[in-house]
Amino acid sequence: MKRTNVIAGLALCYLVVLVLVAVGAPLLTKYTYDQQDLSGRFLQSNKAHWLGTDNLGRDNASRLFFGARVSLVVGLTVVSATLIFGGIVGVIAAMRGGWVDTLLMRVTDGLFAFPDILLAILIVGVAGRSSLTVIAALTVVGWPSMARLVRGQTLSLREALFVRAAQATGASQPHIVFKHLVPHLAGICLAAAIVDMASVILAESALSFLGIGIPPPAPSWGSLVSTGREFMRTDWHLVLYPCLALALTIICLNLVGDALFERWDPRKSARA
Amino acid sequence: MLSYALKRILLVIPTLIFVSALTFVAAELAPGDPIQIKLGERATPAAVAQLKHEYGLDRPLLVRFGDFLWGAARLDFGRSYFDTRTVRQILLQNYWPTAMLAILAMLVASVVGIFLGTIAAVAAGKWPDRLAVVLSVAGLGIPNFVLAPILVLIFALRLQWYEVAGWADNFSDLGPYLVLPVIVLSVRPLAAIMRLTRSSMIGVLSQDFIRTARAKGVSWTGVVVRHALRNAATPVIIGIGSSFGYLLTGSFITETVFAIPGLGKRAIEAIYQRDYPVIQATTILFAAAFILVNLAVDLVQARIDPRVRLNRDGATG
Amino acid sequence: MTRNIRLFMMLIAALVLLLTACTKKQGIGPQANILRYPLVSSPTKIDPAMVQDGDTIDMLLQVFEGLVKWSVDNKPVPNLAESWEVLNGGTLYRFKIRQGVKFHNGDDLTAEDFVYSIDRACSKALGSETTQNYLYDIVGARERREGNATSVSGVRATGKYTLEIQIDQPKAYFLAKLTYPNSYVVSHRAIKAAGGGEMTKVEAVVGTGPFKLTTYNPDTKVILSAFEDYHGGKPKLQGIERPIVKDPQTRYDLYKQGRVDLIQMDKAEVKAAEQDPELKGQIRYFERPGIYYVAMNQGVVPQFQDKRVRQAFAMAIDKDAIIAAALEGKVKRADCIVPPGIPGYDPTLKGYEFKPDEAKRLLAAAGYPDGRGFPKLTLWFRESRPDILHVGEVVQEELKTNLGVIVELRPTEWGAYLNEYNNKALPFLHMRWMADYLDPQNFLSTLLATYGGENKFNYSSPKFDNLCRLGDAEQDPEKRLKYYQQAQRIAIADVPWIPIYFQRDAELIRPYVQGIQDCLLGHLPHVSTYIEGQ
Repeated sequence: MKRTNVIAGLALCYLVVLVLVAVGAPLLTKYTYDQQDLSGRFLQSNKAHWLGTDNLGRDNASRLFFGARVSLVVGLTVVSATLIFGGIVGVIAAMRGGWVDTLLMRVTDGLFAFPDILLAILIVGVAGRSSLTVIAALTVVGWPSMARLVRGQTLSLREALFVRAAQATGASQPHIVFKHLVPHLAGICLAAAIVDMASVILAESALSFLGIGIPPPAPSWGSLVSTGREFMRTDWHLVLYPCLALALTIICLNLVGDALFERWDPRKSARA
Repeated sequence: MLSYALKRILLVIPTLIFVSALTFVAAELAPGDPIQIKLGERATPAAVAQLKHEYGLDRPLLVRFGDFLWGAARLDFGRSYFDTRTVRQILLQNYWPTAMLAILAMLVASVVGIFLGTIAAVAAGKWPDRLAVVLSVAGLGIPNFVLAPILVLIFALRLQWYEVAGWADNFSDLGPYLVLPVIVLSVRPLAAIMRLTRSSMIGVLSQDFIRTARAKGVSWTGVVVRHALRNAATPVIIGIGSSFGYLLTGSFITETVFAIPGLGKRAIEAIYQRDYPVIQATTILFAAAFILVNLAVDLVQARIDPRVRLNRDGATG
Repeated sequence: MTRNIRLFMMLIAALVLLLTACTKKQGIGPQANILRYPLVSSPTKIDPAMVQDGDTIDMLLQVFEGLVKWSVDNKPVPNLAESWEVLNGGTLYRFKIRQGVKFHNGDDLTAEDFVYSIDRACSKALGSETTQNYLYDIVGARERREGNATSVSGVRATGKYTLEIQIDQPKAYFLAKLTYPNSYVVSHRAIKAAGGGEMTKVEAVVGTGPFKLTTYNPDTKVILSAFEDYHGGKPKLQGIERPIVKDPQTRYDLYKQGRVDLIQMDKAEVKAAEQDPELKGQIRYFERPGIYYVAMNQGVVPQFQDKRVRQAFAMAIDKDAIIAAALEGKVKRADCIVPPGIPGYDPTLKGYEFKPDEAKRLLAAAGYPDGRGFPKLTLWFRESRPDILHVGEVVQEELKTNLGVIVELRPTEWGAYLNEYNNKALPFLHMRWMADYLDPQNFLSTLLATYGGENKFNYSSPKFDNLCRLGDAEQDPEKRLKYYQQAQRIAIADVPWIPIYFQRDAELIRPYVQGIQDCLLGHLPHVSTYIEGQ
């Protein structure tokens, strides 16, 4: 138990550092992410560019740091939207029951069963490729699982003693939701959201590989990885750094999410 | 149990109708149409109108949707706009590489995942455990389109063990083509199953009945295999169910990279060409496979663990 | 109890065994006198009257033939037509069909086969999308395609081996258009036996070319085998194998592994090959008649109507830097419009050279000092093409630093792109034009004349149009060339768009592949190709 906490703590530290890097990206390097130097391309690490340069002579380190910004913003936005949308749908479905529940759950089932990359491609195709549509697409793909989780949790919480007690005293529905349900749901949802964020960042990279991720020259890690892959036979460092950053971030998000899950074990909270 | 299964199977139909309605609406709203792509840069408005008429694309949306549903009910998905074959022929010729890869990858992921997970749980906190944990999180973190060329570089080009890419016509020649894509595809489900096995095994191993069995003199391996694995089965099966969705979408990239003539690669091509009949059919097929696998998972789960309530109408919780 | 664990161990062992058992057994390198090279996309059409993509055309050129073909020096030369006369001031072509030519099924070729083939390609029932571009010059083709006639009135067999084709007005480039597979000869008997309509089955694919189609699997591969009775002599190759591989990196790996003998490369693969001591010597470059350009739409962005703005843009973009950076310096910088190898290519033209200060001055003179007040532009281009994306990124950066003009990049999915393009709605775009046939008309009139089908950026110059019209109809090659060269000068000075570079393909070819013949449009049918030592 303790060791997991230590590991999760380290993971959390990494994530905090990452956020700081993302926020302070302009302070960390003297280049911008899109500043090209066509005479110095494919450079290895050196003093001026300590992670080298890419195919257009742009500084890899600044692209990585600014990329952290892009990827984190995409991840956070998508996850928050998922949380809000999925949360509302899940709570309404569970509390209202009946045909509302059936309808909402049919829709979630449908979206859930829709192959997610296909759905994302379709959405980006319909709305045109931009950061906003990529975020929207990833949200549409992501919210059904959140809705299901929230609905399941709410269903079991609804039967819990403290909710029953509140109902018996004549508390209103919104009162019960906001005063009793939301605080109990928050922990588990946060844990799920953190794990989700890892898959969102990974999904954006898959979209980038297919040519429909966050549009250039914004350096999302996904686009760095897919450009790097192009040149990996000759300049492996182009794919290595963003891949490491991506993997490390995903691992840490998972570790922190897992630790939170353990903390807010659904069974425990249901018993509360 | 039977009536529950029947009810769930019947519910598949409205879900599929919803899925295809969604694709239809998306197709309708999307800028650019297949006719433009067919005609390319040299299109004239007259030629576009003419071809639209020839393909029946000038009919109202609802008419086309009704037409499609009626056809789909008879498993007739019409003609591809680009291919010389009917969509049904395309599905029949392309489904089995995808299905085969998915099944093999699932098999590998389950066997290896359960094995590693068990070892990790038994040795919890020691180095085999940590190694397994590191491997599994690494597996979760590497995009498959990066893993694929790395494996190709090592195992196909350096060691010359397996084929770089491609597919064989005869089943007996398929081996060298299968290994790398199956590995690439199985990494993420493997990691997920390993983690689930490990955590539920650790939970089970710390419970009283295990201690009792140990006290009675049953050997460690005996305890693990007979009691613990059985009790840890439920989360593992859930893991298999939820990984299946990934196998389908993972096939899109894996098949493109390894030049495998499967449905995933076909679906991506169809999307780029706006080949709607093919998009519709593959989406429905993927969705149906996904729903049915999850249904099967639910039923198996109910069989193993009677505590699972069967009256929920969602798939996995 | 231990049974379970044994079972599990056995499963693991089986897995390991499987991994070793699955290793490949076949040898590497050439297996027989067969040329193996990948198709980059699935050949969804195998009917010469229907085919559109270049890769499939290359495959079908081995199987089908037409009246004329390209020669190694890029001219339309006799093929199934032994000779021809041009009559009635350039509107009537009388072809003498070669005698003794056999179809793959043993039938003899006559002029009637051409009448059937062209009529079929034009028929409404077949619904070909290429007819309009390649055959509408023929009298009656349009009526036939639109369903208002039962045959193409302009095509007649006046003898067993004499074919006459009537066109609507003198067009010096008409013969060049006949090199496109749309007008190639097909076997009536084979098509009828296969059920008529579009060719979808191997049995229907019967031509007179050096190779026969034997296997067609649109998901995995196409196999061709030598045609013994080919009128040009039996080909040296035993066959051609075309596996379908979409990912450029995978194609490169297959070549390196020795599974294929020839591949086309993207620039990342060129870079890899150049650093590979084994493959370095096997890289071949081929000039192709294509031009990459950045166009400014005067109909959408009113600022582009000011010539000074267009000049400023042209002078702010350093083509050499783009070429060196984005394309590894492997292509030829474009300063004119007609690519080298096509009559009309003009090496004396210099266009607007890279002069950032002059550019800045011009933009200021037009009312936008340092880009102030200039609207934000959107540069559209086709997505998933790394070369095009990198050019876009450089153009964006150069316009920002040299002119202060802000450009947003819009990589767009091909279908959506074409939709806007065909509506002339793209404000600023980066695109490629590849020749349909080797004639200046296909570049100047088609791309930039007001009446040109590809002028999607609202450029209109009466002087330019007039010269193009004269060139299109002129029968004397020298006079014709002069008209086009004058027209080209006007267009370069007017800068409706900025030529960036001419297309150049990089291929890897194994040294044992010998005897490949090439013209600008691609490799010629593999009549003389062979695998050394086989």
